[in-house]
Amino acid sequence: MNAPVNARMNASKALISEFYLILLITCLVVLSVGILLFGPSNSTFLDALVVIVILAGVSLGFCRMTAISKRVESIRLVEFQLSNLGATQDAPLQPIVAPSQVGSGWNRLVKTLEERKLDESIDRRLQQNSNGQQGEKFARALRSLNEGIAISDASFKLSYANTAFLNLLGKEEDLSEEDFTGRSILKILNENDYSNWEEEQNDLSNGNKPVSTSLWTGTSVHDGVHQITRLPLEGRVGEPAGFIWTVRDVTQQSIAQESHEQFLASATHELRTPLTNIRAYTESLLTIEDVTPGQQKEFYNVIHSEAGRLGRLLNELLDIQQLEAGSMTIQTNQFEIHRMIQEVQEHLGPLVEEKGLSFTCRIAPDLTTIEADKERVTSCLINLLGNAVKYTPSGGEVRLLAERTDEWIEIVVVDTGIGIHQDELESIFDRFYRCKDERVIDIEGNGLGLAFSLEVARLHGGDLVVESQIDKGSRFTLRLPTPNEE
Amino acid sequence: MDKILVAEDSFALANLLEFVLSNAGFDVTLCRTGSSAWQTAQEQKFDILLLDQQMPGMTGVEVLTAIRNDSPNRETNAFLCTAKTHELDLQNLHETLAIKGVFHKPFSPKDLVENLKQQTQVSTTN
Repeated sequence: MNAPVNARMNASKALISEFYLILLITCLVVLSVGILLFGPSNSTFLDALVVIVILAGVSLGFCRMTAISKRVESIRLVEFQLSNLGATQDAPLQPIVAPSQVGSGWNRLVKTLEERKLDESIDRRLQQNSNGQQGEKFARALRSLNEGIAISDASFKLSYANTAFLNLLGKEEDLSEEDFTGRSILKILNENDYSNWEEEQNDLSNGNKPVSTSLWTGTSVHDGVHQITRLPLEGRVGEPAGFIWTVRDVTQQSIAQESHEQFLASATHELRTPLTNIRAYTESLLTIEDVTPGQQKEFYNVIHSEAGRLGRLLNELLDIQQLEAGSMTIQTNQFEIHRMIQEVQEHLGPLVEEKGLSFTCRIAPDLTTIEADKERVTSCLINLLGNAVKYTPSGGEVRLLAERTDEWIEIVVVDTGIGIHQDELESIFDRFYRCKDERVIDIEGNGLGLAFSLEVARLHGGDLVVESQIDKGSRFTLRLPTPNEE
Repeated sequence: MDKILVAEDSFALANLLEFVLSNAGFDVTLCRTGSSAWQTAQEQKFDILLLDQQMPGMTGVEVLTAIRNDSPNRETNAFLCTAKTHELDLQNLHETLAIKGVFHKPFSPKDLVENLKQQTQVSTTN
C-alpha cells in the first residue's frame, strides 16, 4: 500500500475517533444532567461531581467543536480557492492561516507552486535569450556550410537558399537569397545544363520520398559532379509541406570512385593475363600430341615464369592495398647505404650483364648510413633500377648516384633509355599505368612498381620525382628526409 | 589453308596461339600491336581476324573499326579476345562490326581452335 493512501486512511480514522469522542462527551453530559435532575439528590458530593463532569464535558466538547470548525473553515478556504482556479489563472494561490493538516498541506502546495513558477519564469527568460542567439548561430552556420541547403514548398518554389546553394547553382555572380526566393528549383537545375539532366529530372520532380541523384556538369567526372538530395518536410500524411534540398560538390569523391573502379578492373585484367597463359600452355601440353621435347621444355618454362609473375603481382597488389588502407607501416632503422646498394646490384647484375649495359654507382663520401625502412627502400631501388635496365637498349648506360643535400638524402637513377613522353610523366605513377610507347610492349611490367615506390617515398616523408626526354633517357630522384641531427 | 591474322600483345600468348593455330592447319600472321595489325590488314586479305582487345596504341575494336571502313578485310570474319568483357557492349559490336565471337580470358586454346575451324567450314559451305 502506498503512502498517500495510508495518509488518507489515518485521516479518516482520526475523524471517526473525533466523532466518537464528541458523542461520548455528549452522552456523559446528557447522563449527568439526567442524574442531576431526576436522580437521588441526597448527596451534595455526588451533585458536585455531576456538575464538574457536565462542565468538563461541555468545555471539552466546545474545544473539540472549535477545532473541528477551524478545520472545516480551512477546507472551505481551500475549496473556495480551488473552485476559482479557472477564473483567476494569473492570480497567485494564497496561503491560509489554519493549524490543521489540510491547511499546512495547502500551504506547502502553494509554496511549491510559487517556487516552480519562479523557476519556469527564469527558464523561459533564459530560453528566449538563447533562442535569439541560436537563431543567429544557425543562420551563420548555414551561411558558412560548403553544402548548399534550400527549402521549397511542395510545388518546388524556393523560400530559402544558403550561400553555398547560390554559389553552386547560381549561373550569375553576386546572386542574393532574394534572387532565388520564389523561383522553381527544377527550373534552376535545368538552367545549369547538367549533361544527364534529362535522365534524372523525373526522379527529382515526382514522388514525395527522399531522392538523391548525381548530376554531371560536363561529359566526365573530372568536369564536375553535383549530388542533389531532396528530403520531404513533414506535412499531412502522403502530402509533404515542402522539401529540403541539399547540393554538394562531389567531384573529388567521384574521381576517387572512378579511379578505384579502374584499379579493380585493371587488377582483374593483370591477374587474368598470366592466368590465361598458364591455362593455355598447360592445356596445350595435355592435349596436343606432337609437341617436341624442346617445345615441351619451352612451355614448362613459360608456365613457371607466368606463375612467378602471378605471385609477384599478388604481392605487389597486397602492398598497394596495405598502403591504400593506411595499414602499412614503415620500420625505420639505420643501415649502411653501401650494403643496400650491393644487394640491389646483386639482384639486377645478371640482367645488366645480359643486356650489355654499363652500370656505374657513385655514393658521396659523407653518406655512409641512412635512416629508413631498408626493405621498402631496397624494393624502390630495385623497381627504379629494374625500369632503367628494362627500358635502356643494349650498349646504353645506367647510373646510380647517392648524395646528401641540405634537406634530403637523394638517390638518383639515371639511364640513357627510350625516355617517357612529357604528357605521361604524371600518369606513370598511377597504378597499372603502362606507357603508350609501342616499344615497351615486349617488356614485362604491370604498372605497379612506380606507384609503390612513390607511396614508400611519401610514407618516409620524402618524394619521388622524374625528368625525361624521349630517346635520351630518364632521371628518377628518390628523396628521403635527412635524419635529425642530435 | 585458311589465312588468319592474330593480333596479341602478350608475348607468351601470341607464341602459343601461333603454335596451336599452325598445328591446326591455319596460315598464321602474327602482329604484336594494334597499329601493325591495321597495317597488315590493309595489305593482305585474310579468312579470319583474331584480335586482342587490350593492346597498346589501338584496341581490338579500334583496329576492327578501321578495317571495316577501308581494307580488303571489310567482310572478313572477326573474333575478339578480351579480359574485360563487362566493359564491351557485345550486342552493339555484333551489329556494327559483325563480330562473330568473343573469347573471354582465360580461354581454352582447344575451344578457340574448334570455334575458328567451325567458322571456316561454315564460310566454305556458304
